[in-house]
Amino acid sequence: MSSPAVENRDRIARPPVRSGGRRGGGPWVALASIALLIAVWSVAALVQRDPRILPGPWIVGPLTWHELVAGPLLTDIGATLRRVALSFLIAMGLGAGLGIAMGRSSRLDRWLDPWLIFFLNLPALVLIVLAYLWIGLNETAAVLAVAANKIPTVVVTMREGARALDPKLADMARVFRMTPLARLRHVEAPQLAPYVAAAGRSGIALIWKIVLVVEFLGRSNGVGFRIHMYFQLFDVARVLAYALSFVAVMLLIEAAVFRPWERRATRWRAG
Amino acid sequence: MARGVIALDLASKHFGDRPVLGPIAFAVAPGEAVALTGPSGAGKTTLLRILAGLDRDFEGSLSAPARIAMVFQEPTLLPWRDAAANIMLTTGADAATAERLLGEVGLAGRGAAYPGQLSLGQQRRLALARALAAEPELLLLDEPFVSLDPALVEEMLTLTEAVLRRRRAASVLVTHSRAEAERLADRIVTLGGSPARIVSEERP
Repeated sequence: MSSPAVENRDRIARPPVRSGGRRGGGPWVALASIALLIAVWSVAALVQRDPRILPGPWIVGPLTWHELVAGPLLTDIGATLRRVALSFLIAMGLGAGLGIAMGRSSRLDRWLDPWLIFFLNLPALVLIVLAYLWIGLNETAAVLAVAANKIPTVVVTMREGARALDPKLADMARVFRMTPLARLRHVEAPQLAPYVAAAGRSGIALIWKIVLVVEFLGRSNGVGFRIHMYFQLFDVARVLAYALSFVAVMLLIEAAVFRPWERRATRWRAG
Repeated sequence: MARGVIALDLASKHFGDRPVLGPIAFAVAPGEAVALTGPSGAGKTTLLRILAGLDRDFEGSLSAPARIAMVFQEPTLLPWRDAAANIMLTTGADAATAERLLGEVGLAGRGAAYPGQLSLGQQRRLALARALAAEPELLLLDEPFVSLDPALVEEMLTLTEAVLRRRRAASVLVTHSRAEAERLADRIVTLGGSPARIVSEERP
């Protein structure tokens, strides 16, 4: 299993220069690409010839359906999603606040930048283990450990956003005596929106992977817990069923929530 | 010093250790149009920023009106809001006022256009309409015709002249063009020296 611990580094989101549709081919290319992946998996399973090591899609598919209608799959996905949502909200809230403050105050930035570098380079696993040791094997520790892993990258993205705020527009808002609320809403928030969207999109991708590790190490429900359980039973088919189901749910959330959000945040740039 | 819409009694202005403006007494009477000229780097824009309240780091005193509007060197619009919203959100003007002012600057019917969809000349007109929407007692113009081609400068000069005459708001125009100063101003104030002071005042 690849450890998300290493993936915590160098995942600093940058907002796209402009929103854009898919390049040529549209959804057909994506569908064909997924079909190809399933085909490769099928061939590998056939060549391997041991379904205990690598079960094919024809085994994992029906098993997933069975776990969905008769097993705990839905409950576990719900528990994992709840942790993802809580960690995401905490990480985005604290990270955005701190990042904007550091982007605006070079003094604060000088003081906190070494901390930021330290936490950016701290493996996710270390934070998770420490959270469990210090807070206990409970929900609070799990959610905080995941949030703490994501906060530094949100800080970096939002700091960049705050640094990029246009000083000329700030002057304009001051001369015309716009209220602080109007400035925030109409002058600053639209400039920060692409950064929030980028931090959010990369954030959710990182957070759900760390949530699985947190569950793997110290929770008694959730997709990560199930993977841990079936790992001990050497049940590769169920490990794949739970993992792929959750990947599908997260891809759906990204396509339905985060991509439209990012497009809207950058729409005006298209002119 | 004469009482005016705005009165500045400046002792000095420094950037770090470098003095950029020396003692300057500057006032604008109600309805008066003043042009601020001088060589590049003389401190015209710095002085204008002090008048606008954007730079408070100076020695001296400033008495400024509550309602000031400014037309910047660049249009400085909100690119994510349409033309009408740029006027309304910034100044608090209602939709009818915004539409009327858009008409006055030659942008009738373009209220729904985003700044990126307007030409540079149109963006400048929109910036002027926004400044007018604030119903300012004092209008500050910081080289508003810079980087426009001569035909467009002439067009904007005529428009600015007309809207200023109609309103009788006091105005301060920063420009390095003698022709613009003579055309728009009742009084031309020239800055010079280092640190800059007022070296001449004349009425064209």
